[in-house]
Amino acid sequence: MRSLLKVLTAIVVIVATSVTASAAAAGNPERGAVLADTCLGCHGIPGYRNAYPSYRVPKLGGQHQDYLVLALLGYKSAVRSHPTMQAQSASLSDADMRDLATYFASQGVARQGLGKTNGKIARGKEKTAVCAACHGEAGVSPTPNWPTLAGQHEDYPQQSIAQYQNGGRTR
Amino acid sequence: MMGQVLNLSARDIEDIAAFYAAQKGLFTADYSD
Repeated sequence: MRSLLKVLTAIVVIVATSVTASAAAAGNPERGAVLADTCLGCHGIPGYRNAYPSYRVPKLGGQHQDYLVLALLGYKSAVRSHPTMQAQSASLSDADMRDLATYFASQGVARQGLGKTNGKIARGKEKTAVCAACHGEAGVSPTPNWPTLAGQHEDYPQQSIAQYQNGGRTR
Repeated sequence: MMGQVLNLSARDIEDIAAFYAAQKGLFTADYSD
């Protein structure tokens, strides 16, 4: 009986710790919405393009919170190369990043499902087999550290992959 | 991630990006959301 009590106590402590950790990791979406005013100058305009190289800036609505924080940390630490994003993230605290990420993630849940299709898309589906473990079979990532790609502008992953290939991005 | 993408050709990248863009998912968060 004493052993059972010890096990139950341990379970309660573990669950309580996990809940606390999750709550600490969750940001404040209301504060994030205020901070996001600057971001929405680019990310809130449908089809807005980065000047050079020219590509549409990524959609952030429905993106994973954890991934967005990692991306901002990447810009702040310069392992991601984008002068504007590096400048914007330089002054953000960890709490600011969590709040911003929570705001964008809270905009909605990515809906799963195939839209249009053609030969190029069908070829793409075959080629994403190796991507699916992290990014999900249809591009909705099951892992919060990895980005959802479903619905993203076509030229944004093209730009991202090019950066991985040329060393402009390492994570 | 690096290892997965280093050997992709330009056509591979175009096809993969087209596939993801065609799925329902992310959207542009704007002031009206």
